[in-house]
Amino acid sequence: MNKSLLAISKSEVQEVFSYWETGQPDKFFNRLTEDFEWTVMGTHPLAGVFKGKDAYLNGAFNRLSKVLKDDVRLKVIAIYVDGQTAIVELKSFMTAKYGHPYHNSYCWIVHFDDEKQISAITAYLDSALLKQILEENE
Amino acid sequence: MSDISQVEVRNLFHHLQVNESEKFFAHVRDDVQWTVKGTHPLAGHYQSKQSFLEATFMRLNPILQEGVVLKVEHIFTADNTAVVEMKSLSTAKNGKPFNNTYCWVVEFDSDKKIVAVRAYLDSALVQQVVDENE
Repeated sequence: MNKSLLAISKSEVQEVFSYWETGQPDKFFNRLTEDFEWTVMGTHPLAGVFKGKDAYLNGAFNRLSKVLKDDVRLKVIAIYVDGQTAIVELKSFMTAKYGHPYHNSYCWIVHFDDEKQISAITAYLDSALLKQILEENE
Repeated sequence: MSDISQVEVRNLFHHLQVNESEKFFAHVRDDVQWTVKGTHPLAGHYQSKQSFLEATFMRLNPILQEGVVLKVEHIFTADNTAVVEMKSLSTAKNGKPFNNTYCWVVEFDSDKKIVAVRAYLDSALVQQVVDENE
């Protein structure tokens, strides 16, 4: 099989991630497949393998949202594409509930299926900072 | 700009798994721009191979029983850039496993030498191993 037939393009990835930049993560979540897996790497309270959107929202996203003053917004720094996988470097410039800046840096490995829906994400991030923000604001 | 292949990346990174890091670093430019992301004692933007090695590998080696050992999990390539997911298989001096996880974004120059790296890793675990073993 010619993998280029199924490959995702950089501009398609940019489009999906624009929802993070404009504070509309729900639109990003609409692109997740039913059985997708989100692996949050590292040693911190939100780490783990989340199977399905609800598991991810309840286990990680909603808990983080509660300690932030702003909507969750991420800025895309760089995108690389290898076949059906995109690697996206991201930064956050948010503020925690009690005023501490939450400037995390992320590298997400994002797998797309044949319908260009997202079937898996592996997320690397600054775990020490995440841990600190949760300890200070929960 | 020349493209880097999966096989070239795999062969290069294998050196980090079998205690031949000097062979790996022979393919890193002296003026490499190496950013270790995160909030932890080894983080920073290093502007030479020497300053990167002194601040990271040379600081970690004495606190890890087998030194820094990295095993490749996945490799992705796009033009002159490789993205390499890795695990560390080391044990700290105090006997605790140091199972860190890494994602390195690695840019190669036209001679296929590494010219820039951005390294994402589990910063909380780095902080812990340094606090407990230095």
